[in-house]
Amino acid sequence: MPRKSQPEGSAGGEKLPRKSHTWASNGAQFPSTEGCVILPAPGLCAALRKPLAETSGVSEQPLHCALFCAIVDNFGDIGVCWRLARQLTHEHGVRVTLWVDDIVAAERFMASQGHAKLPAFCEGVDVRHWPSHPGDFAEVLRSDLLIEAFACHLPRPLLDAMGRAERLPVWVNLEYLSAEPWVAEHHLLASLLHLPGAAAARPPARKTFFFPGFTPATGGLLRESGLLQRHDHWQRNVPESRRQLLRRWHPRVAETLAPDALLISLFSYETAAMASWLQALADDSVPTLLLVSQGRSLAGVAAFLEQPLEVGEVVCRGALQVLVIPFMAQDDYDELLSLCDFNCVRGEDSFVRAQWAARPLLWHIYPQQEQAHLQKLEAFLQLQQAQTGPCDALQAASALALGQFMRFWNQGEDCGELWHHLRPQLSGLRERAGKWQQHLAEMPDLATSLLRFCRSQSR
Amino acid sequence: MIGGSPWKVQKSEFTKSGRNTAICKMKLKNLLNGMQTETVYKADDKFEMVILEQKEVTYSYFADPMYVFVDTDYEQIEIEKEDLDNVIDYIEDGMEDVCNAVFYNDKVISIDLPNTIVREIIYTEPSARGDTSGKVMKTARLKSGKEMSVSAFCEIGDFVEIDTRTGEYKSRVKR
Repeated sequence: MPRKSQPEGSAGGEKLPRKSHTWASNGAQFPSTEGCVILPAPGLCAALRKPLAETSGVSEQPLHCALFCAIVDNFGDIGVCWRLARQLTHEHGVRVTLWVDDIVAAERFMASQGHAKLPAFCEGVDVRHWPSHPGDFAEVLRSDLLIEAFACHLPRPLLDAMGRAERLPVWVNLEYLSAEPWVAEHHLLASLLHLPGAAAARPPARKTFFFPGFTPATGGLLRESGLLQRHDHWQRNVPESRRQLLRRWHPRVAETLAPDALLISLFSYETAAMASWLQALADDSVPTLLLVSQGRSLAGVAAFLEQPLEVGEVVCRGALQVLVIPFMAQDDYDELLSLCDFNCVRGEDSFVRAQWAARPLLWHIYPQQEQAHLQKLEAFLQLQQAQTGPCDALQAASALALGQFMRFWNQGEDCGELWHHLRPQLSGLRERAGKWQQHLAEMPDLATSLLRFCRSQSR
Repeated sequence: MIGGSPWKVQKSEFTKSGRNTAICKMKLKNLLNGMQTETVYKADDKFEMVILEQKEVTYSYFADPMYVFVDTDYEQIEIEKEDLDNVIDYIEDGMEDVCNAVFYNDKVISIDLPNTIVREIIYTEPSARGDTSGKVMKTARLKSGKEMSVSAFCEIGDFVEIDTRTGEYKSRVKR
């Protein structure tokens, strides 16, 4: 399949007519195109224009990163990888090739981010299908940093080529996010591996496990420069920002939204708890506008409303108004999270983004065998409680109520009563979410930590 | 077998990571150069297993700097202190424990003690009256010089069972 070699547009960006475009501020050239290109986001534009040392603080020479992503069931993996690839490219001047195992699924995701067919350069990131021939392998081996995201398995022919290679890139397994204490003990430990095809006496290859996390002893969280400022901007005039946001999907809803209405986003997995919560929202004395993302939450909402739902559709039950919104570009989703009073998020990527939005959140954690996910939820709740510092009795009670709501939700239990107890405490919880955001922001972000590690290994 | 060297797993710890994947943290020792390292692996990583020759041996004597063991054919096997690891803590003249000598390429690389051994206490402080539950511990010294925690009711001259995998006291034994 011929490769489309031009930067693609991104939703909500700035149009600039130019003949060629250099994405990386360190001078690394990417293929150019005639006419218009669309820059990713205003904050990133500024970052692109800065000298590399100013934007990253760690970059000295342009690096090449091969980032491998296996798309498993949802768009969580590719979502994190795409975010990381963009940040490495735009803020650190890294030349990133994002290798995906399922190009069709990747295309569906990239379409939601405003990009057309793959393979292609998208916002400076070279997005391609899993390497399959010697030219690809040689390219991967020339890279400085090889990341296998979420413990994905590299293609066997590539491992064979790595076994025969004289030099290997710094090899990292980017692990899943967890707040459990063992993460800090495992972060930056390595596997010593005898690669297939390697001579018997060859020293073992070293693959380092890199754990995202919530403490300085981990790799931190993905956080683009300017993200918190963007949230500040969106939250400066919330009623007006909300109106503008809602107009994109449903102008009438935007104009008729009650001033005291709660705005809630819902992006979760299926759970038996959902019906009880929706009923509580419908019975509440305060109106709620529930913005339901396309995907796995929708079936539960449709079942509760006893009707099929389409994007753009509005349905009311008592105090509850439901608006179905499309799967959106990542920057738009940040804005949505920023403007809601409460965000129901799931998995890893939306969970992290909701924390940067500094709004109370419900974490629907990815269900695991033997209920392992419940331990991870407890670990997060405990860590957050410990790290947000001393609080008064009221704040402590609010935090407990939110924690209990998450436990019930994740175990599929009736959440109705808990919601009635929790809802009046949302403003106090917002303050706590702000403290948590500030606490997290004091740590280096994941992309910077990764590059620091790569540089330390390359020396 | 990793990178041309045999490694021994000294300790392993299994942890569930995200989305039903698991990882295993392991403390490994290179059996050729003694280097120890802490590593982490995906639970489905595969290794080439090393088949090591093993022989039953008993400790005979110390001929500085080598510790000499004999096998059932009375052949002598010499090993350095560095290769004895924590076994050195329990080496005593006259010990009768049947140990396992582990060979790689005809070279002895380690000695394994039985999981449970019995050793005499040569010194410990007298116990306070009433400490008979076995839950209260105190320090005791063995002939080899190793100090360990034993039940408070143990006295000088008592024999105790020790778990060599953990180095922990198991019980007092009658002799």
